[in-house]
Amino acid sequence: MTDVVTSPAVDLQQLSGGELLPSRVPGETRVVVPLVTLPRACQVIVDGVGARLATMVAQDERAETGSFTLAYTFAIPDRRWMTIECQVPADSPAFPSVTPLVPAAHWYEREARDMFGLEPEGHPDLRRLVMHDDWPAGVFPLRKDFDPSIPVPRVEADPYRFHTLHGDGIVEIPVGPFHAGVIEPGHFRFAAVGEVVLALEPRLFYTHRGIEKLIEGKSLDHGLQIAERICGVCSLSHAVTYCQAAEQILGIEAPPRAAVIRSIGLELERLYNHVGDAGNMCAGVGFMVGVAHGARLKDELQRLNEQFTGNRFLRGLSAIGGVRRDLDVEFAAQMSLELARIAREFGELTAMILGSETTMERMRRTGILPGDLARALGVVGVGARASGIDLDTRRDHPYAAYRDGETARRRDGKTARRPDGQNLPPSPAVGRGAGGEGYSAVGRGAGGEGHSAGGGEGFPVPTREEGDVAARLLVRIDEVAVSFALIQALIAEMPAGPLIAGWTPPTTDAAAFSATESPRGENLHWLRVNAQGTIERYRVRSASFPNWPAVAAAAPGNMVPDFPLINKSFELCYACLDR
Amino acid sequence: MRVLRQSMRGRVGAHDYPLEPEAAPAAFRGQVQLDPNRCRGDAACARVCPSGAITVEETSTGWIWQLDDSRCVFCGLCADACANRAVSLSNAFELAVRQPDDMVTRAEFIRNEETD
Repeated sequence: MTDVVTSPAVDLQQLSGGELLPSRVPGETRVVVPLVTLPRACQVIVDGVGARLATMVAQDERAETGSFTLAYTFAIPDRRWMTIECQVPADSPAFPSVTPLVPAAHWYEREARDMFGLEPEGHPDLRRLVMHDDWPAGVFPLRKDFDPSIPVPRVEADPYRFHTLHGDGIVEIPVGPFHAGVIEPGHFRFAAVGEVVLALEPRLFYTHRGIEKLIEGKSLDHGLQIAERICGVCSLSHAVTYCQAAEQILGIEAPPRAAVIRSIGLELERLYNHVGDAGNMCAGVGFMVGVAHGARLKDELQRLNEQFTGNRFLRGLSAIGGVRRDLDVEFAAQMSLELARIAREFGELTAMILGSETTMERMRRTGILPGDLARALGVVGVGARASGIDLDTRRDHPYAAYRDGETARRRDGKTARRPDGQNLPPSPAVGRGAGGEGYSAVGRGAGGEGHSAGGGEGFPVPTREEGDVAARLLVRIDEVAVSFALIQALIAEMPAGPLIAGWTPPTTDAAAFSATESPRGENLHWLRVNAQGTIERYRVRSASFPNWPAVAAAAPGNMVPDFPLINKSFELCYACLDR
Repeated sequence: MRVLRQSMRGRVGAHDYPLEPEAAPAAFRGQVQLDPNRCRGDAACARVCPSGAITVEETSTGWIWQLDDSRCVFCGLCADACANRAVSLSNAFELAVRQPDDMVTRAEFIRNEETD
């Protein structure tokens, strides 16, 4: 479990000064601190061990303990988790805001204010976040006494106050929430002088469906059907994250064959997203041949998904305890061939994109997200890795077939060494050579060093330092190569055995969380069931949640027409942000 | 690239759907199908259905099995739950209808005491 650091609980606990609580999550140190010391305890963890705020869960426990609970969970760089909890009394629902000391907490605390009516005292921005202007004051949907079956009358209210800039020649440009394309709703308010963006403020949460409330009271099985449909493009990541959280509560584990099948599915999900995104980024610069081929290859990958799982978005594959579908030898062989061909054609596509100087020129030095800013905001996924932050949940908090034994075994048998001494798994026909020419255009040297082999774990995590649109494209291209190789390795060594572990609905109150690396970055699901075996509280923190503020931060200084490109390069999801 | 070369030779890469029908793969989870000869009215499908698309209603003489396609999420839990293999997910995916009522499939069963 916590194999990296011996007796980890002691030092983290001492550092935070809290009182230790039991935990079901491997590697988690869970403490409770008095309300007044909450911000300081969080800051000490962030500054002391370089922790990243991974989620914050608010709970209404007034019926049981007479108070609300706040739990800030941090990812510790040495593969541990740290949760700092505190009680907020029901009669004075306010808490000292962590945001001034740990900026990454900003949206979590605004959400807790909207959904639970908990006032973060000292928070620099107390505008509504999730619930928009027409939602009545004093109605908090995630409190236990809120009945979702009764319609809430909407109210007339003052419109949302955007931050505005005043000065000669400053123009405000409102964009959205409706867009001229089949994308989700979001409002972007630009302040610009001429072509140059001075500031950008996004307003999101237009597709809030109340999923966290909807799932309360459902059985674990029905909950999975909802979790799987939080968003379209990371369906399997959400499903597996949910299943893993439920499995920790139940004290079961998916059998080895199921773990491998899950990982194959998760890599297929990464592939169809990254391949499609590489093409879509070309749309931002009007390089339509790239768009068309990206879409074509994405569709071929989705057809493969459909043949494998019966659904183009890989729905219905994961179940609590394992998987619902097997990957038989015949289809695995066919898939292996198909993927090798798609990998080859993706190599041609990337060579085309990277070789197009007009395309790359638009992407370089555009939409730069500085590494320190990304760290402060707790950014995850491609956005973080392209800004020099070396993180990947598959390596840092391994699950499914990415766990120690599994990846190490594969690495020892199969990994080729690149000339620069970095480990990379064998990449069958990914067109490294073809890509290579293009890399040099963006600085091959930086790219080479960026490939960190990953702290002895051997899982290749491509990173880059530039933090621009091109870096995010190149990280995706490198990750595609890793995914293709990983699927081939997993197919080659499928363990035999059962597909699913049996379980019975829980009979005690229990909570756990789990994280996976979705194509957009770390997804973290926090789940609590009650003694009746139904879901008591569910908190979804998708990769888009910490990353959206980074999009806004990367826009100033760029041209307005480059914003679609910058936005595409992060490729975030509205549905799983809004829930 | 393969597709560019293909289209230069005059072959079109894309299917001419819907003029040229497109078959779904065998594993595809499409419209829910009921085999009336196998249904025993035990309502296992209705109990596991997460969206309330399938309902089974007891009547004085038997039962009514009903499917509302507009509620179905194609998860396939009903097919997994049916001990008699009466429920399955077909390959049908062209489910557009002209009237909302056409989304609902209804089957009325008369209980045969001798065979049950």
